[in-house]
Amino acid sequence: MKENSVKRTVTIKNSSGLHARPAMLLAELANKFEADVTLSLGRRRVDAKSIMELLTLGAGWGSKLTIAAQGKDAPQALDAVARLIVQEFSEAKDGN
Amino acid sequence: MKLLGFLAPEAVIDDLQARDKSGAIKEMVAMLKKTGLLKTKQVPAVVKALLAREKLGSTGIGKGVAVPHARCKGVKSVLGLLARSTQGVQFDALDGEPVYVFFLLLSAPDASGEHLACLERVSLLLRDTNFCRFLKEAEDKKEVVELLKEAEENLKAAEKF
Repeated sequence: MKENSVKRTVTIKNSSGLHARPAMLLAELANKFEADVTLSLGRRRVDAKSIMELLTLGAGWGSKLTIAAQGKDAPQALDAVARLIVQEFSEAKDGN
Repeated sequence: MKLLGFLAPEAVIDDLQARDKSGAIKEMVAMLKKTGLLKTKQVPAVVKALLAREKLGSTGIGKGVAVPHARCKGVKSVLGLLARSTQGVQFDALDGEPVYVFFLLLSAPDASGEHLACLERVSLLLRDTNFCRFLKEAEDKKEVVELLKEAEENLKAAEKF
């Protein structure tokens, strides 16, 4: 059986970008899925299940991130991660 | 963003004495005061802001590393401090393990971009298991600073590819 592999590009809209707390929320969410989930920014591609890896992207406001998921629940993982980013990590405007 | 541009070499803490979160944060802030990087009157607000941030979720991001941070008025851009702990600090880290390496960051209220760039530099270092090992093994403050200089060069070289 061919494994699910899906991809989508989203733009970071919260003003302070992918800093520590959003990275924590994102990794926590990605870890709920079996699928491998990665985020890419330019040439860099990292494991979305690791906070430290996510922070190495230094993804600020307006960055275009490509989410890729592969595995049994890949479509669900992709949707969930994309939603979190697009909804600005439910962050207050001046998030810490 | 240069590592030693925001990490004050004189404020490196070779071996934290505190064993708990509040104690470790106070000890790091006290070092910033001692080295003249923070004014005495700033100390209570900075400690409070750092502890408030921890309440939103520990900045102990796992693998023995923590990046406590807060916004701070009166700081120019970003001010950082590196601290090591031989014994480990209970920091409610996400993986439940004690923390041995701290990168504390204080950012000016309007320095979101710089803060993000500093987190990027620091996490690039921390992801490197060799760096973490050398950091643990460094003899003293001087060696830690040398190691940071070397790491900076390595990061620069890696970016050329």
